Amino acid sequence: MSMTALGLCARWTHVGAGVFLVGTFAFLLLAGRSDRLTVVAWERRLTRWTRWAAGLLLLSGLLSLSYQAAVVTGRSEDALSAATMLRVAGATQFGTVWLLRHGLLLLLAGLILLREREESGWDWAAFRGEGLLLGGTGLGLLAWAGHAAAVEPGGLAAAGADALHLLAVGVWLGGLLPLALLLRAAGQEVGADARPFAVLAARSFSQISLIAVLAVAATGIWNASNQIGNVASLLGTRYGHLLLLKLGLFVPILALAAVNRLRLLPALSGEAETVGRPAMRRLASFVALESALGAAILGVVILMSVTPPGRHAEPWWPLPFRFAYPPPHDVAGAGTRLLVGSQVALVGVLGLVAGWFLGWRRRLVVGVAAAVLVAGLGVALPPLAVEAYPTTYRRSPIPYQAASIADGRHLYATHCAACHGRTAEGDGPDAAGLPRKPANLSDPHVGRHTAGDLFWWLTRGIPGSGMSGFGDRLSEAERWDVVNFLRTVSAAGRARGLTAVVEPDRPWLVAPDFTYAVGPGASRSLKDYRGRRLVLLVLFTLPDSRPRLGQLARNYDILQTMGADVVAAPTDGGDQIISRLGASPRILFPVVTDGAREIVAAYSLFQPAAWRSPPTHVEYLIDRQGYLRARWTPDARDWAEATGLLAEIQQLNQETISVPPAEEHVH
Amino acid sequence: MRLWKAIALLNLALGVGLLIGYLWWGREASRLRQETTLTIQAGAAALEEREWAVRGVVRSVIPEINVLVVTHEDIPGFMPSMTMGFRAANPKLYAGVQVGDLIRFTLKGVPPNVTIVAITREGKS
Amino acid sequence: MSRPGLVALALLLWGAAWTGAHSLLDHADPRAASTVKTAPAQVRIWFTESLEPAFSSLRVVDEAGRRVDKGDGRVDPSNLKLLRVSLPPLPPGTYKVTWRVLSVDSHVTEGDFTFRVAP
Ligand code: HEC
Repeated sequence: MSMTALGLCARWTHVGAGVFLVGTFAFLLLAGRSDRLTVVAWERRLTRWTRWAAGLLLLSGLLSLSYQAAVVTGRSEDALSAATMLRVAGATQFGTVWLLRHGLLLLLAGLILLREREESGWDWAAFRGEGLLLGGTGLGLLAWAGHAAAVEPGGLAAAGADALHLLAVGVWLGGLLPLALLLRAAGQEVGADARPFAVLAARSFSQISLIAVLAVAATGIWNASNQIGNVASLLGTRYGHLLLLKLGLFVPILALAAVNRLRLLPALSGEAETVGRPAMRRLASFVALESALGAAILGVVILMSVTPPGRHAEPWWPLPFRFAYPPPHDVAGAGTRLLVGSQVALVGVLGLVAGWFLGWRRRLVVGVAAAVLVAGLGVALPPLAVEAYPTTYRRSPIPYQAASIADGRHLYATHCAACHGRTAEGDGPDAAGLPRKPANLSDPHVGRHTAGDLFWWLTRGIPGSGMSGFGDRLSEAERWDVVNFLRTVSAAGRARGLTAVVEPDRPWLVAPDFTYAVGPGASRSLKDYRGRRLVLLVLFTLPDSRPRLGQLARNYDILQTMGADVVAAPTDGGDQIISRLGASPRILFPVVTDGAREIVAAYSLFQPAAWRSPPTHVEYLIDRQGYLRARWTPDARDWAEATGLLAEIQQLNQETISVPPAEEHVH
Repeated sequence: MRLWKAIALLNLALGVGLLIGYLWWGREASRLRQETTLTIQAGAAALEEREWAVRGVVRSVIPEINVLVVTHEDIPGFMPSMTMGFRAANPKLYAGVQVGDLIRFTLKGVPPNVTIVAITREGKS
Repeated sequence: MSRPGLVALALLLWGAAWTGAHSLLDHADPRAASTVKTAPAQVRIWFTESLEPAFSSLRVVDEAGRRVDKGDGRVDPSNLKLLRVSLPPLPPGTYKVTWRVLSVDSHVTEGDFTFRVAP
């Protein structure tokens, strides 16, 4: 604990010192040369500070490495082990970045310590420019040791944006302290000789920092979208909360900056005694305040660097509602209200913009426009609002896989069927005595609830309905299994329309992933075929399926040539199934000996009437993106001849559309 | 020496270092790529005789050409798990072997020319 | 100490109370908490982020806590998000897989799961 605090303090010092150095060198370049006594004194003071900062930078860098050594091995004594530190430096990306950066920072420290007197303008510019270059590179490279480095794909862009963010922060935040010092010195009566210099410097810094702040905001938004991605993660994860805190500190800085720029800056050149000097002193303290807030932001940033990014954490939704389009339950007239409301709101937005720029009766126009906007939203949004729960945006930690669905199916039969019915249509034997009719879970609307909603109801129950929570009877993993099962059931409801004819270019039904093995062979997953081959999944029963299997076996070569593989799963579990199939017909495609039970339990749900009588023979054609595209049973003629099947495969081969690959997680 | 000249030299050195590092990195990457292809080829085309004990399930027996088709586990350094036909050293080896039998067999030879030289039955699948 | 200093220290201490889990387990083969009929020849775990090979490892132990893997647990050289270890033929029983990984964004995660080889 104290170790972590120390490590984080070291990082904070490190980043703070780096920002200060970059900002100071940038500011010195920006302000230009002067031989006024006060300015020279100010510069000398800054130089002394840069020496300290360089020392702190190196020391805290070393501490960060030693902290990382302890983190990596999980043993606090390794913080002092040179061998571990060397291994971290030599064999990890963090280490490589660390070495590179500290090489540059050593050069920077050397430059600052060994500086001779500058004789010419060239020397003057070269020294400051080099300080900015080395310090800036050292700061920017930090991006490659943080969260941005792990973004995939697009890691380079993410890290590049992060580096730019750091640099812009360096120039702007780091320049505040030198500016405050200068203004304070020049605001004194004795420092009057530096006043013109300070006014000019403040003006040019104001220009540069405006650009830098815009860059900070733009790259910050980019970073946030990389690391957080959606509103749920912003409002519902620790990382998101830290970002909100960071923004919360950023807003007062912006407000201060605006006051400085619009009120105080123009006053600087006013009459010295009454206007100029007081304004300068006030500006000095405001700028100092800004940089203090900036230091606090850096603290938050350090915390964010050790917090799992929002995109990887499970959000805990804080609001009792959310907006969903389309809403899970059809609300009469929602579409019309949305259309009208959004148009009204748009008028409001246009009015706001126009009012702001026109300047004519600005207050009135803006006020009316804002009211119109609110009214428009008030019309459009309420029908879209649905109840939400803390777990609404949780993603299932258990992938959408046949094994999980099979487990869920089993749990459903023991815990839910009494009320919701054996076929999930809400007609179980216990349904009659309940305050409300149990929901029909095979209805497509169930699929429009988020997985997190279902999980919440399963955990806590639905108040007043007679359905109690299962949090104490089913483990968390079991509840997610049931959620996966419910998703399949609701999808199966829609799958009734599936036929043996592929609907061109319209994948919509996700095929649950499954894992299987043939004898002692390595286990394979449906996902392994992703992007490469089509899969014909055959659920079969002996002896009825024997002729069909023979037909498929005879055509196996041509099926393979056309990019399709066959996986056959016995409906009876598959004990000694290969022996039972026997020598003829000669079947060489995978016949599942391990995993068939789960595959059949999950995939038989996609067959109409599967609940009442388990299927004897059914075939599913799964495309390269992992979607179920066609279903065939022997009572349909279509694939009775192999040519029918080959035609559908050919159809899938010709598809050029690219839909996103099927997700293994329920959303 | 004048400060700015020293700094210019320093930057020159840093630039050259960057360039060298970049080139070295590129060379290292292509060397690694080459090495992987080489090891893969070496694994497949080693010119010495090797021997493996492999488990598999018999999918078909084709006495006409003296071949046994098996779905086998990974064969380290030779091939991953798949369904594949292997020649038997002599027909007596597979006398009594039936489709669906779980077997442990010995493969021997110079890849890719390997033959089954021994078979033991372990059960049914 | 100055005000910003205090604020920052408070933040740091608050942050120090929890540690982050970064590279998360995406999925595993054999599946966590699953039962397999044939003893697997290897355990593979896919993660959500690339791993540092030097500091990422996994091990498999049996019910008695004896280590049963072949000791070659490491990051797959051709897929930095995949951690694998090979196994000798395992007798039926319950096995526990423990992993500890360092992701390229310099954070450590650890965890474990079990699987069962059916008799
Ligand atoms: C005691 C009877 C009972 C049992 C047992 C029961 N439920 Fe329910 N369930 C209900 C009732 C009644 C409702 C309708 C609530 C409503 O209309 O507000 C319901 C609603 C639901 C809903 C909400 C559907 C929707 O769209 O609003 C889901 C999901 C659900 N149940 C799943 C399950 C699952 C899964 C189980 C087993 C783990 C289960 N239920 C067990 C009685 C039960």
